[in-house]
Amino acid sequence: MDYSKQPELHEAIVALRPTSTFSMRDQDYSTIDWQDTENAQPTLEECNTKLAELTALYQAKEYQHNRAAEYPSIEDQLDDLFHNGIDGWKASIQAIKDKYPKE
Amino acid sequence: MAISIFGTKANNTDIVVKDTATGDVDLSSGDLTTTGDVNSATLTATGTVAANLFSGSGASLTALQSAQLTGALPAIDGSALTGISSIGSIEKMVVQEYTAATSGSGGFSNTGLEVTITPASASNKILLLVTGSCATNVNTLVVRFTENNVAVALGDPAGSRTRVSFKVRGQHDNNHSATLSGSAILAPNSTSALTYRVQMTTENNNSWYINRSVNDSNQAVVNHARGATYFYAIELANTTINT
Repeated sequence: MDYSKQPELHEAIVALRPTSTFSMRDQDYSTIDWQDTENAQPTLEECNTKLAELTALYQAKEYQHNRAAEYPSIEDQLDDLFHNGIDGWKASIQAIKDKYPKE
Repeated sequence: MAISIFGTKANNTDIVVKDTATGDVDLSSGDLTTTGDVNSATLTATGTVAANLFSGSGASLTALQSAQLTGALPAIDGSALTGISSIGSIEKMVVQEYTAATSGSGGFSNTGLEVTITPASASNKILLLVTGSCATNVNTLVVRFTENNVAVALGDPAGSRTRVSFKVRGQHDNNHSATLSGSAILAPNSTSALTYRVQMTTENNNSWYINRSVNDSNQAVVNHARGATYFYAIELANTTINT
């Protein structure tokens, strides 16, 4: 499961039926084209329960996603190290960590 | 033949010779020149009749030269036209406009891209075109066409390799998209309804998306723009497939 993106109905179905083949329009349960002849399509209730679970997991790690999105590229961090030394680089990274605390 | 002479002879003009029995005017080899109208039930000439304007029915005109015709064609029935270019003329086209942001997972999945066409002739060919955008967070997305649920337009069998119609380089991230563009030319040899679909799968049966990025964040940035995809089935006459 990819926890780096906000879960959608699609991820809930994949989590419930990891090997199943299906497609769906606009994350709308009623549009699901279930193409797995061996495994039953999960119910809407099952999907909603799983989606709530995945969303909670995502939100618990939201600070990680926010930090990852804001950390400079490796090239920029090396440049920071060269110009400002290890303390300067640590200060830059710490500012982002402080902005998105673990809570 | 009774002859009557009408009009005046002043200035040696306006002399009209008329057979009063038949009403005919016969100028033999002479010319008839007038700036007025000529009114007659029948006007016969072996030479050239010239005028600035002709009016009336042209139903009996013959040997009209096409090079002398100008202007736009009227709404005419072209069903009996012959000599039309024999290179891939389009017989019929069915197009699906697909604007839904679609996702799928697992093995080869029907994507919702689907058109049905009934060929007019069994010798005609079907050209499939699909253009739009797709996304996946792995490296490879593969596409195949199906005809009445049978995969078509595939690469040659080669051991256990998966056979597909075409491949797309996946973006391997959640924020970017790739061009979905492929075509196929098929010889279904049928005049029955044919349903064509586009199927997809990705590396390790991961998820794929059409008309959206993986993340599809609700932001006004181009990374997460929504797109539209078009799927065409074009019936072609006079088309040869070289293999």
